[in-house]
Amino acid sequence: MEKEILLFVTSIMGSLGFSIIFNIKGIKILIASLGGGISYSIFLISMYSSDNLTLSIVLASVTAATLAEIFARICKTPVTILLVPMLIPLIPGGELYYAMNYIIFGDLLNFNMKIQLVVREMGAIAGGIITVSFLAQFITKLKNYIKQSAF
Amino acid sequence: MELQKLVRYMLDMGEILIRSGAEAIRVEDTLERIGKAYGCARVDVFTITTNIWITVHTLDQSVSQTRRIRGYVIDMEKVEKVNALSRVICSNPLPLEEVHDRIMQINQTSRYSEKTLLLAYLLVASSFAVFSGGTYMDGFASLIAALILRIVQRMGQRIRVNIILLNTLCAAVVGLVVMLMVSVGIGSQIDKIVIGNVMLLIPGLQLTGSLRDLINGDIITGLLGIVESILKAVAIALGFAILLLQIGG
Repeated sequence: MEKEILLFVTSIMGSLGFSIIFNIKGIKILIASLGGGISYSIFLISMYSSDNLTLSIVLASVTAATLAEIFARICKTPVTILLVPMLIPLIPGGELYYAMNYIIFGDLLNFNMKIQLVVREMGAIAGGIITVSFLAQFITKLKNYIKQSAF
Repeated sequence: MELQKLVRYMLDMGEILIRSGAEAIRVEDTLERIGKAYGCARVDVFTITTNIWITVHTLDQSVSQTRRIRGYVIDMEKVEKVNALSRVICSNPLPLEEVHDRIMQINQTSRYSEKTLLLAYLLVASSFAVFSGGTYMDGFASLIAALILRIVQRMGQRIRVNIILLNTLCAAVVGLVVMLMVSVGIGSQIDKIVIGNVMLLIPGLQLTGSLRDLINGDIITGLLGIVESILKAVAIALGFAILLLQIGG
């Protein structure tokens, strides 16, 4: 459990640092960094119960995107601003680095393994975000439609 | 003449958005809405990460302009401000002079001070070294490496070194510092310490964003982003590799 708490805290700190680097201001920093921690803990919980990497990343990215969509509407700000720092803990930066390192040293076998992992993880993140954004658009359109037909 | 000005201001807004890290689809959407708000019959916008093309049509004339975009610094505050401006314009088209003034204001958006930025760098580097499985001592080593990384990066930016080359240089310097520290006994796992710093350099977010562009249907933007981020990643790995080959690690 101690290890999980450490991961949770460091993921929040990572998101916080990137929020500052990306010039995000005010209360949005708090939302973005806490969101990063929450989505990463969803990833950890899902990894524990299912041990399925792709599924866990999709769930975590769906969580981040949902939080971003909700708070973007509350703060009247574009969704990306909150979403980008929240995704930081999920990004397989380390794996991407290992993959490039392997190919430079000509170790194609390990490169293949790592790059597949990177593509799978990044695809899962992108897929999660897009699913949520389509859903959000659909709900907005449905709301407008209901409003219009009421009059 | 008014139409020419309008298109120019639209390009200014689009340029700020792209340079600050907004997605291509958002830029096209925003500019189209603004054009429509000023009564254009048809607005055609095409955006990739390095260029914007706009043609607006009214009943009796058409105006086209393009804008080449070079270099970008992610700045979410600017994205938000341009977004807010476009909301205002869409509900109530402002006089063009006022639009110009507001764009100038947005261009002067303040950033965090160099000290705060440096602290953010140290925070990211040390927390990701621990995050990826390093000890607290590794985190501390990563923090020191990030300090030196930031100094090299600032110097490189000041003398305008090519961005890919700068990444290689930064990676090599970080690698050297980390190796020296480990040999003295500060930190033990080289790869964990390095990854803390790699997170600051590696374009993982850009790669994810590009995949998102691809799935969204922005094929060209997506491909450009993917190629660029792979190049950057290779440049970083190369920086570390040069060092490892020299020392024979």
